[in-house]
Amino acid sequence: MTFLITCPNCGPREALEFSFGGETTRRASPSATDRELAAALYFRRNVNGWQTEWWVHQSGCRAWFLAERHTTTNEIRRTYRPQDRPRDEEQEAAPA
Amino acid sequence: MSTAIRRSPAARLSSRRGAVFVEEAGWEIPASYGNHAEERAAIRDRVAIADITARAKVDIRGRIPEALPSPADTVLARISAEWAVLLGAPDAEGRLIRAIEPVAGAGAMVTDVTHLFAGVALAGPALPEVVQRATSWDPSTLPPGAAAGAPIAEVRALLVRRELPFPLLEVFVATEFGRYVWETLSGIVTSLGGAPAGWQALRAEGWR
Amino acid sequence: MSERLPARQGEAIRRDRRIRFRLERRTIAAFEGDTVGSALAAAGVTITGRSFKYHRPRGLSCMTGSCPNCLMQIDGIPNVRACTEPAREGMRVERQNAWPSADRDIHGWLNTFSFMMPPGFYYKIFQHPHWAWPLVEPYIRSKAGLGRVPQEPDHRRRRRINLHPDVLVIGAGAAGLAATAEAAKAGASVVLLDQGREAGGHLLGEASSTLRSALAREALGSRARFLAETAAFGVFGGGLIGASGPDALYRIRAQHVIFATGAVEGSAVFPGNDLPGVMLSSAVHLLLHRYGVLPGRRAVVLTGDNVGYSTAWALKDAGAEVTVVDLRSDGGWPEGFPVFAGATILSAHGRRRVSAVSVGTVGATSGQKVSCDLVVNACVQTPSTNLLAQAGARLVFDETLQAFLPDEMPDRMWAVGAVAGARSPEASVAQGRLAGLEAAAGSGHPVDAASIAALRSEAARSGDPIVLPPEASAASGKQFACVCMDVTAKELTTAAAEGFDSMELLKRYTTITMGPCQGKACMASSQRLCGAITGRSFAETSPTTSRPPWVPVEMGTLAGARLTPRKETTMHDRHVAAGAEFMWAGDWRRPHHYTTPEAEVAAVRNRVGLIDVSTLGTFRIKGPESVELLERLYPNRFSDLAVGRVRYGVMLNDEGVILDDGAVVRLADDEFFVTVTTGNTAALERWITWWNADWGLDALILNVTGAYGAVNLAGPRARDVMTSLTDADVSGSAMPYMTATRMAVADVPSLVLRIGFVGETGYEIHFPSAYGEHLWDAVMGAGRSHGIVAFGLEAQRILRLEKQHILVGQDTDAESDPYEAGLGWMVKDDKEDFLGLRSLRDLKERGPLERLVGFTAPERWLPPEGASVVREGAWVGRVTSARRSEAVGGVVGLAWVPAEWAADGSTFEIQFGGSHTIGTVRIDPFYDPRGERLRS
Repeated sequence: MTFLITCPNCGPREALEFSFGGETTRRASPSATDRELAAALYFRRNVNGWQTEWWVHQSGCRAWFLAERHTTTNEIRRTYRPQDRPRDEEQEAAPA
Repeated sequence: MSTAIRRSPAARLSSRRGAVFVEEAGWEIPASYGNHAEERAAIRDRVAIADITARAKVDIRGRIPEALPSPADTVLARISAEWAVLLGAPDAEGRLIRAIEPVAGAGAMVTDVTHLFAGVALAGPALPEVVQRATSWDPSTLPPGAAAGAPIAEVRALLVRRELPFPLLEVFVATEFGRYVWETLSGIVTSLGGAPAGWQALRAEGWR
Repeated sequence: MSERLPARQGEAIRRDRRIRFRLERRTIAAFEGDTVGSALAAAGVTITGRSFKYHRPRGLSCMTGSCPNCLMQIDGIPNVRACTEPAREGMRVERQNAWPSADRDIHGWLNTFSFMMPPGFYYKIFQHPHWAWPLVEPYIRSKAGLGRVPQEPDHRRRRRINLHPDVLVIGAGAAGLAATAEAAKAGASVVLLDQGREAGGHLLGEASSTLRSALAREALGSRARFLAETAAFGVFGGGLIGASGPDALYRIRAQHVIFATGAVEGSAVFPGNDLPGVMLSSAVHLLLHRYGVLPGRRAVVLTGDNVGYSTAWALKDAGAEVTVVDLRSDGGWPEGFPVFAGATILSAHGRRRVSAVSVGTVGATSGQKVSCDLVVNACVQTPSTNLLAQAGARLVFDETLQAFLPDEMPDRMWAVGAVAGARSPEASVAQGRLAGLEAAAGSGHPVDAASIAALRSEAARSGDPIVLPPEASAASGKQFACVCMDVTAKELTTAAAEGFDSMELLKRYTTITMGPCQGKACMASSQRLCGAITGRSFAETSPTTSRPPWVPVEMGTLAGARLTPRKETTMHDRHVAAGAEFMWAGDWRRPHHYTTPEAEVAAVRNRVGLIDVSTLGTFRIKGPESVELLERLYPNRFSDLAVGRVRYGVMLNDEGVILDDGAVVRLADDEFFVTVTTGNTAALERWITWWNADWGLDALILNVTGAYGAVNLAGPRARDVMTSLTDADVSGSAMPYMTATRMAVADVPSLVLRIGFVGETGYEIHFPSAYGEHLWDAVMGAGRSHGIVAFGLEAQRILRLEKQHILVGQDTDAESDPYEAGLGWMVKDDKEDFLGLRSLRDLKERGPLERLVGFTAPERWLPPEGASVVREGAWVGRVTSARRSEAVGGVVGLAWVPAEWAADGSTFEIQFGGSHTIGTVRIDPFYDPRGERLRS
């Protein structure tokens, strides 16, 4: 865990400065079936490859942002603010 | 006339190092540690640590304009597009809030954070050596006049690099860590041959 | 026998400064500048220790800290490398792993019975009889390990230093010094590391110091920072390099890294190759030229190229008789010595020191005996590529040099010098200069392109082909592939036959290369043996995966510089002065009690008490969608909370599980002040801000925890005390329960909340924290005539328990939902959406399976937290909190019980560790059930 992450506000910093927020998720709607609810609560895609995930710069600006990281090599190819999310991604995450 | 007096969490530790306190604008500040000339020398030639908790601090966050005019005798620490902290003299927070609120805009939240942070100034040519021992953050990434959030002694700090004839870094950490951070940083400063300095010496060397 | 030579030019010892130290019971005379190893050699001490497994005698071999032979206990610290450790006046040196002494070790019998202990024997023995293994195992374990761990605590202060240079150069030999000089000259910031005390690397063993001095002047006279006695021990993700120096841990992130880690001589494999007196040429050069010690009078030098002859000459010049065994048979070797051509050493003979070798052609089982007291390996050079490999360099076998060399280096990294195959100091220097210039250019410093072009041609690898000794000797006797772990060639063969037939498997099964040297001395010979045994060539047998640490690192260095942040409230010194006993609440220091919890409880119930609750997490939330944010985060309704009013809320996650509880105060239409549990503040800050970011709501959040000090003034006389502290109207009518008002308290601008965790009339005063001492003094002063008492966390726990106020995380766990915790009244499931809504629907429909209830129990036994609630001997619930209560009389507590038992008056059995009692369910708070005192 000594790789570097580029915070959209503060630039490249040690991974230790950040807290991990997990892969992006889609919240179950109030009308979800049991199966949909369980999937949203307990299952994750957990890819071996490029993953879009949340990080917060805990020891710095404390802002939440998104990163595209390769889960095997820890290479991060992109970091961006939530407001710069592609529109469909944003809708996916909002509660119905 | 109010009898209420404000103190820094590191006051007792400063006391043990021989600090002489004076009252300024309702704050007890360490004016000196007993030897004004030596303190100035430490700032110029080695490294000094000063307790600047009494500074007025105002937090501005949200949709704030790119250019934020800051009143005279203040320092604007712009950490990101959405977050800035305005620093001023002791007890200036009310005035600063009144000055900044109109220009910050409706999409901003302006908060008096004078008490949210304890503050320490590190000043002197040996400043880089202190920083090397206190954090994994690379201080050369901070240009003079700029500000950043970074860990210091394992706690999150707001760092402001001042433009003065000698290197000076203002370090602000959450008040609850104030004593621990003073203890840790002054230990490092002392181990490198530096010493604590009071507001008198700091101001005499040009700091505001 | 080794002995001291007369003074010679360029030696590192100061003959005018004598020192003495103790080796066990002997006094050893030495000079300043000696290492412990060189001093022992000068004194004729041959045996420096006993080997790990077989307790075979071992002697000085490398003099560079690259082998395990001279590990000694020095001044109480185990496993110090005596060959590089500077000798000091008064040192206490003890050889390890031997009893009663290294010279006569009683465990030598292990060597005789070594046939019973092949690699992996501990997996195989004592299958039968089974009962014998637990008896034998402790004995075997006691024999393992080297050195004695010091028992005294280690109080040495360590530093942790973070460096960010333009260029990091690892290794201060010829190549490293040259790289440093060029990079620094070009204006780059450079850090140079070397594990030795002095720069020079291999050049330290040269008779002439001209080149070394010139390079050192160039490199160290510049602005470069030289860290001596600092060894890089690993390359970590993201290019972080860890190095360990004297009482310091260095974390280095450089823009460019130049690896100049050199090469280490290896030992040829033949029976007796581990005897004292069998050395590497590096040891001979260093002993002769730096320490003025002749390692032996009759030497046999084994070599496969002309470079080995320089060692032969150095020995002859110092007065030794030298015979050369040259692996090459095609002539052309230098004059001046008796030479066995086309020959190798078949075996070495001797008991506690080598006394003769057998020399013959490769493959012979016996040959001509040559008597000697020194055997020198000058034939196998292994580039020290461990760090490079960790950094991601690709290693490829070079046929000419018969070694694995770095082929492709990762971006912004270079390998120069012997580690990259340079065969002469000139080539090393050229390679170093080239890398230094390229690195400086990479950091944006201007360099001369013509210089770079010129250096490129000088730096090219070249040299005569090397002839390596055979992978193993055909003669009989123990021949060691791995001297650290005592693994012989025969054992490797057996292990391969057992199925461990690749380098990685052999390593794991036999532990070769896993000892103190980490493969420096033995990787090449192990690879070649493995290849020979499994029918592969050297080229086809890659080294094993390299992992940190590459050199031993003291645990204290890694852990010793750790900082432990702690949080204190601004009233901390007042608690100290009042005699508080402190406890850790998360990373906060908080008073547990000042006098006794019982006395403090009584004071609050009967008079008035004051507690510091500054640690409470608080947030300012403001913005047009701040109501929306709170509505989604909480099951409660907040849209109808009037300005100036307080509402108790509970936060759930989407499973419907309780995360936290606290108060929400509406300060304005679009502004709220929210409190959360002390211990959860950091996690909740992330929780709240994340949902805000994900939902993209127009609300701003600021954690203002430390900005506000807070005290809770509680008790029947609280109002009296408050009245004397403020001009504001604090009567029950002006400030009813669950309201918040701004006022000056003791001249301090404050927000005062009428709430009561402890169940008495209470005022929670939130104020700018820097006024802490002043406010505490003022309240305690005003309360003196009312008998005010400071109360701590334990008293608070008792008081709240008497009111059945739950503590999230104490009385609830990761499965507790609001319905079963008795908080269902807070859930407004007619709201459009909030975290947990969907899950709560099911939970409500199903109904709670268990309930959190209050209970009373007889005085005589206080059940501990976690005590079991049982039904017919089966566990059906647990006690979460319990205390003795004077006000109520007896034991009061909270427990999870099956839902059908949650009726006032029903009884249940509680058990723990042999004791048991009967609990009686009480649905209403034990104390002041109607909350009259609270609301007054």
